[in-house]
Amino acid sequence: MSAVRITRFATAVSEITRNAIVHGGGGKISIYLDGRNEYLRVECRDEGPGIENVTLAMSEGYTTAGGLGKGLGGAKRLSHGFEVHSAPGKGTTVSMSVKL
Amino acid sequence: MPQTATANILNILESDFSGVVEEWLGTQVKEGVKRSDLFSDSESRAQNQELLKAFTKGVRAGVVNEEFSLDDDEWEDLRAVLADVSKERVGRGVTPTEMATFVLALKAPLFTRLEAMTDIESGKLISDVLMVTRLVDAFAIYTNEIFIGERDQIIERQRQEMLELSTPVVELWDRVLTLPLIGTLDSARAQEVMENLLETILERQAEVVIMDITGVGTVDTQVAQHLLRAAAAVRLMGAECIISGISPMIAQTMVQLGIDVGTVSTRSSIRTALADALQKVGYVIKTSEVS
Repeated sequence: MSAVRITRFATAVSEITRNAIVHGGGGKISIYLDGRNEYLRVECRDEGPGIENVTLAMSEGYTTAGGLGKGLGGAKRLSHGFEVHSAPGKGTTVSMSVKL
Repeated sequence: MPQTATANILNILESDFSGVVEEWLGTQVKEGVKRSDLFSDSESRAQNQELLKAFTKGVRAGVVNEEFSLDDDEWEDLRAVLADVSKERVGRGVTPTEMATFVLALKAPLFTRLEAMTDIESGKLISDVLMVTRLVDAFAIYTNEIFIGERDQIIERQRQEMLELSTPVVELWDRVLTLPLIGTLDSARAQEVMENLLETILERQAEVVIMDITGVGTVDTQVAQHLLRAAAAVRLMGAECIISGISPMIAQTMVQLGIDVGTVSTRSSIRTALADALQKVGYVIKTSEVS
């Protein structure tokens, strides 16, 4: 993997895991490799309050914690695959992947 | 009237104090926890004497109806001596196991003396032994707690020192400061960096500050926010801020994250930033004509 790709993906993981700590009160992170060694997938799960409106949370400049409001959308742009599963009271799971 | 276990133990401690100290030392040697490499014989003896004196005082006043708690006032002396001894031992690199074994070694001299006391009927010896065990165990547990507390303090102090060390503000030239950042920039460190930097600006009458992030691995939105806030504070103080060491990787990442550096100047290397800074404060870099 190129240095740029590593930096980009590491930054995305950093954004998401920090969110899990700040908003979700900590969580679990799992790292998977797909069967053909083409993708690396990082799944970050927390049991926090969850996100009410995922689309709104992904939008530019939206923040509830006084940050820049670019983390979630930015992390999506920095990964090749990006999925958020969340509902109020159900916690949040973010799955990010990068091509190897 | 039958003697209580505590009375028997107290009797031993008071009538054969130095005998117990010596045998305690002997057991420590046998268990290999005396650490004669770290403490001289007289030091060890003095420590044991003081500990046992305080322990005896606790047994005399602090055990009521065979119940006690080392948190009570009567045990204050023991706690104080233990704090001193533990500090000394942690400082010289004694392990928690050694420290606990060191205290637990006190059981042996007390057991042998209880056994030798002729006025104990066979059934009572068990309850006396039990009492010694309870007392010495409490003593050892308390020691460990103090020991760990002492270590925690050392770790906390070192963390603090590292935090300060890791954010050095260097005066590169007249009115030009640089702040080489290395590693991760979390909120606590960012705060430290900012305070340090702003104070130094005032102290050195700096006009240009170079924040070099060559050694920062990832710049995510939080790190970027910390950097931009520091830059804004620098500007408020009337100085100019240049962020240098933006690698191609970090530049691409920041663009994708949508981070806008606004009016903060950025440079790819500290070298170009320095040339820039010197120019700003009125210096010219020239090749010497003398060859």
